[in-house]
Amino acid sequence: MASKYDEDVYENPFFTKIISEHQDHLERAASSKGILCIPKFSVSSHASVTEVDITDHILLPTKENNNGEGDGGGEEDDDYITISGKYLHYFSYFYGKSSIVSELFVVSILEIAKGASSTVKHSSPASYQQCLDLLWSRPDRQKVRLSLDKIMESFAASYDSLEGESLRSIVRKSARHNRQYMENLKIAVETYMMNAVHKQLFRVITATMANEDAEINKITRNLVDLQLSDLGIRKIFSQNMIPAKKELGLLNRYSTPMGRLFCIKRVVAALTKPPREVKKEKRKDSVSMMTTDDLLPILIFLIIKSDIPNWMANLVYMQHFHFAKSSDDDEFGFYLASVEASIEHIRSGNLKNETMTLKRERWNSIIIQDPTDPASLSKSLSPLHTSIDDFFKLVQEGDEQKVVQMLDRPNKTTEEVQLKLCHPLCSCDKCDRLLAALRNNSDLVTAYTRDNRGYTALHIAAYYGQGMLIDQLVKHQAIVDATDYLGLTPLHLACQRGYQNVMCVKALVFYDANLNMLDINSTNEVGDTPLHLAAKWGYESIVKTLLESGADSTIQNRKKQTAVYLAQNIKVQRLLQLAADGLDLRPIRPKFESEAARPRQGSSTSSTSGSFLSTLRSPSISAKLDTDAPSFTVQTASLEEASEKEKHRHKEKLFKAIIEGDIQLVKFYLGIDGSHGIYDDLDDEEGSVVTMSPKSLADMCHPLCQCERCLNIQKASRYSKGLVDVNSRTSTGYCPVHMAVLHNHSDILGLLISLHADISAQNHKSLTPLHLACCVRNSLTTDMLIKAGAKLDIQDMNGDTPLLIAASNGFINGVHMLIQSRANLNVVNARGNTALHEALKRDHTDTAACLLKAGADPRIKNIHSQLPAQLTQDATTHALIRSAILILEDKAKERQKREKLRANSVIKKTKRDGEKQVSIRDLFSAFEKADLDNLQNLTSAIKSFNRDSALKKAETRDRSQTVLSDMARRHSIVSFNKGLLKKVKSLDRTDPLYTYSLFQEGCRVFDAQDNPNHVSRELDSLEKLTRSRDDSLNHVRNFSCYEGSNDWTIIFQKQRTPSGDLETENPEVKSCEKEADKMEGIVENGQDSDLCYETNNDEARPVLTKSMPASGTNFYGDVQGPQSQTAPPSITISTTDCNHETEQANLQAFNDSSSDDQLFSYLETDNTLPNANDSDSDTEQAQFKISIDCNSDLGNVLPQTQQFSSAANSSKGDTPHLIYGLNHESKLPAEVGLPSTSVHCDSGFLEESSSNRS
Amino acid sequence: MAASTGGGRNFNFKVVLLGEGCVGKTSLVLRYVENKFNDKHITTLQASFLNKKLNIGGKRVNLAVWDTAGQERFHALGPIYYRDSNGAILVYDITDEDSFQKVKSWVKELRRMLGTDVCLCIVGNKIDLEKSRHVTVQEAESYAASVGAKHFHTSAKMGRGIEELFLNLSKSMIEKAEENVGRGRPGNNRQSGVTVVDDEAEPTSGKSGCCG
Repeated sequence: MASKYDEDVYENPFFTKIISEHQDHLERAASSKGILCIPKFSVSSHASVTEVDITDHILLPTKENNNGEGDGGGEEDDDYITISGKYLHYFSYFYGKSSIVSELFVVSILEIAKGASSTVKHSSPASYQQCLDLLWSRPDRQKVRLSLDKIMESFAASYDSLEGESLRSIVRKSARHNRQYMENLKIAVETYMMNAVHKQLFRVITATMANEDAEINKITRNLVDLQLSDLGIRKIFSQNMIPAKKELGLLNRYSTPMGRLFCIKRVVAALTKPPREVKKEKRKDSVSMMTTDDLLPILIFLIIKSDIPNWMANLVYMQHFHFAKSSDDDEFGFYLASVEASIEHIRSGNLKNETMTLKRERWNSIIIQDPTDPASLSKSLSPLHTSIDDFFKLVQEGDEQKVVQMLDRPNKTTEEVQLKLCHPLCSCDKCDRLLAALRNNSDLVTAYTRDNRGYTALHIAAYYGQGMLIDQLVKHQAIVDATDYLGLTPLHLACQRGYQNVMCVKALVFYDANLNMLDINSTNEVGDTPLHLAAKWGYESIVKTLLESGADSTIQNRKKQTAVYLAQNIKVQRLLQLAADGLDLRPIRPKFESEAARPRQGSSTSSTSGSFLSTLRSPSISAKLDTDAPSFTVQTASLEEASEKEKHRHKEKLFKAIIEGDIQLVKFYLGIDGSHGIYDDLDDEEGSVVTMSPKSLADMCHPLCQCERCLNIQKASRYSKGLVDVNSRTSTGYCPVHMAVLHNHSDILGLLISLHADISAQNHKSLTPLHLACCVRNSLTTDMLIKAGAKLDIQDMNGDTPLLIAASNGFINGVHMLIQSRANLNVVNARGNTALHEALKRDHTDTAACLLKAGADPRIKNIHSQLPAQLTQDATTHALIRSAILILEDKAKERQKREKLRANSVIKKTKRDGEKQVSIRDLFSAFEKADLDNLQNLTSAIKSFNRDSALKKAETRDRSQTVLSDMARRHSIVSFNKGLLKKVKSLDRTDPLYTYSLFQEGCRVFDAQDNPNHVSRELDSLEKLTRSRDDSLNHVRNFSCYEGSNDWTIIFQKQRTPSGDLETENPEVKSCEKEADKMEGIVENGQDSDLCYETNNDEARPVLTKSMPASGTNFYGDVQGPQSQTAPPSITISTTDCNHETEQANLQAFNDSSSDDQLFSYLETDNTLPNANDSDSDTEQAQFKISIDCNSDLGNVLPQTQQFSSAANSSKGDTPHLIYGLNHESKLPAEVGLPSTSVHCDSGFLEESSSNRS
Repeated sequence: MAASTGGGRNFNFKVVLLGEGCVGKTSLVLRYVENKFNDKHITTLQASFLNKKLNIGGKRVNLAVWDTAGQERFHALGPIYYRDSNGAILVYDITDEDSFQKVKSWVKELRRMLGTDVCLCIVGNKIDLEKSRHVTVQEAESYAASVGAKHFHTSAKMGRGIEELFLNLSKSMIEKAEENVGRGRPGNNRQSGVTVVDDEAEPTSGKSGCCG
């Protein structure tokens, strides 16, 4: 009952309260076999629990019932009394468990007990309303009620249709008169129905029964190696076992209870099928008769052997969902009862005890006479095997003490023997004898000994759930990941067996999680991971544990089944599904770790600080682990510490051995099996001496790989427990190599070099062994190091290279060697000294001479600006230095020369040969007499030449050209000389001849006043231009597009006469001059890069005289479209300049003087011009517009109109442009109003304007 | 399950054989069933479950005889076998005093679990070994009377008293069944979840409500 109730009683507040506060009542209940009633969680969590409540909930049997026989349970109609004295007529029968206090869950007893005064009785509900109240009185059940109501309604609605012409009526009609037929029909209906609902129904049943199934599975998995004889099954039945088992395996394939029952019947039939020989005999032969006494064990055996993980669910299914009666019913009933009995028997756990003794006997017999394995047979004959056997047996039984004892024995004896030895590596007779004795010790068992199934002790421990031993074994270096011959790791076994209660899985997983020792997803030979096994057998907690530890739920086994697929239990399925969906369960992991640590601590009784982990593991692995799992729990940290200590001890020993120069001992500590090694017997298989360094451990495929190669390495490594890394360091960073060099042990150095020790390792002062060798002036070690390829130019803390040290020590041999091996001669240390400085400072003149000879540069100054020469008074040295300098300089010169020569010659050569490469012979013939330097120069020259040729391909020049041209263009634009502008004459479309005649008049005036030749020349060009006017206009337009990118600024400087007057006496002349200038910008070509302007600007002439209002003002002009000629003459000036007023006045005066003239007034805003629009907003600030009309009445002065329309663009400044229009034409078409940056001068209009006037 | 159906003239009775190992339970039932059945009907040598059809006074009786395991290790499985049974045959070996004590404990257990609905027969087997009798007839019979059971002497070997035993048992079971029908309480169906009443009224309706 309790098991069917799904609440965890330990979460029940009522229960916890009793446990924590009312222990006395509990004990009383326990002592008198009372019943503890615990209200449902939903009830008890609401009410506050008082002591009275508790006493009300403990039922003590009244005297009469206390003497019931046994605890087999049964149907009872007993009276109980509560502790508080209330009588309770208790209406239930129950199978009293053997536990003393039966926990019973009563839904609402708390409330009833509170309400009732004396006798509490479950009165059955009398009315419908009462029933409803009973069921749905709690508000939290309303939801369920609603949904149920709905279902009921729909059922009621559909019931009518069922009532009609339905299956039922069919059944009835056809079976009215035939009872047998009716029965069959019932079966048919049932089968039909059950088949339809089977999937859902059975799933529900499985889920409900999951816990019990898991429990059974746990037991059955632990019994899989059960033998027929264990159960006392007679041999006569054994031959029927296989078909029966096959039959039973199909059980889950049948959908209906009926089918399953038939399946079981077939199983029994198969079992009782008489063997052929027996058939011929008399059937009454009692030997072949199967009684229940036979049947039960056989069924038990089959159930255990069958791979069906959901027996309980099957049982329930068959028992409760088979309704139709059949003629076989009674038989089914019996079989079912038998199966149930079998399961019950398995559950009871008696089987285990029963078979234990049998098994133990069998164990021994197997070992001694295993016919299948001759190898093991031969082994079993040896006494060694027997001890292993004993060992395994002890492991199986979980005899921790003895196991530890056995494991410790070899170590102890080894240690003892070692103490007796003269020297750890001594090989004198006495020592040999001692070692031989040790070797022959048959009691030597280790944690990695295997039995004939390939099981290690760890397997056995996992198999039999000896959780505590796992710790011990791992402490003794058991391989957590070892696989047996079927590819099963201990974790597989533990998962299959469901031993999470004894922490096996957790313990194993713990090692995996923290040490990466174990592949949690390792697969056995059919591809099952531990997760598969745990899921299949429904071990929820194991699945959880595995998932938390990062097991992959998506792995498929060889049948392409994932763990989810195999899971029978819905809870497990859900867990796995979650994991598969990527919901990481790992956040819980820290908690789990501590959980895992706790039982481990508790279980490993003898492990004090848990120093078991890597005590004897090679340091490289633990070092690796360090990096792999930086976040250890406190405990593992302590483990690391312990192992660190161990390591340290060994290291110390090693260093001591090195200092003492005991090469054998060094070899020993480094794990090299010399010919006198203690453990050489263990390497017999490998044949030769194995160099076992941690490095080779690192060479393994995986730290725990089991392949042949790795196994050998492992094997060797196991015995070199005290192994120290060749590159392990002291606290000051000294390596063994350092030590060997420092203490002049060349032999050890040689050994270390042969072990691939890092010979350029630097200690805390960045000293390499070579530094040290130079320090101690040992030529031999120096030589060895150099020959071994030590780096020569490493600088230590002070920037000293070995050469510097050798030089300062006057270690001339070292200097020689270093020079010969081409150490850098001119390295400067922290004090700025070269080797030469150092040598001379300490008066090692011969060293210095040597250095100088080798080409050390004496011209380098140290930080005190001292030359090497300044450091010595030795005359010969000075002379040497001088000569060296000379030589160096000469050499440098020579080199330069040669370089040039060679380069030239080579270039020539290559040039001559075209693309052909210079052949080696050519080189040699050419430079036969040249020394090595020259050859090098040559090659470098060749190289550089080649590079040059390669550079040709790069088109850098092209790129720079474009940039340069762009820059040049910009520059040319900026520094544009307007004087170079070509004249452009934009003429009106009116008759050129007429214009010409008019113009000639004007020219005459010019001629008279100024340079006639000049003007006439200009006129000629003007003529030409007139013809091509339209073209030029087009160009101008094109240019306007371009204009935006070029900044054009033309500065007009107002030139005033010294009088400050506005030259009123001769404005016309000026204007005329201006006009004659004909500054015109022509855009000759639309091409953006080729802008050419030519201007014939007479420098001598004043530019813009009277009309410029302010000095130093920049004007940016916009050409405005002309107004109509009929506008009254006026001059409008608007400016922001400070001189505005005076200018205005002046202009006014000027205007007065020429009042008759027609005025061309131009308004600043002319929408016909796009450019004007652009700059509209900007032009408002500073605009200057002048319209001047000159009166032709002023004698011979030509009527002129000057129009400047300048729109300042200064506020923006980005595209200031000028339109400088000199319009002599009133009817200038809109398009003639040139866009910015054009200068337009037209003389043709003069005629027109005058004609207009006339 | 094998509930007695007292409504018609057909009776289905479940009879369970209990007793210590080696008292001859299997032999008893084999002798009984085998004598009546043709050889060909026994297709197997399976002797733990046997069916026997009787006609007593016009009433058809179907006896389902369940043999149980006598070994002590399976004792705890008793309830699975004897629940819902209408009759129980408690066998002891007259040469073995212990087996009789075992019968006593079985009787107690059966009365406790099944109440008075079950018909008990105490059978002293192996009367062919009368010489080495250890359980006196008087002791056995007085005990049987005290617990409301009938006592029989049988010999499976000789085939004595077996017919009588089963016939008597069947009769008393019929009586009991009819009694129960009269009281309106047919049999004891305490723990089976769903019982489909076999009255043709609702052959299928039970299926929907049982998946609790």
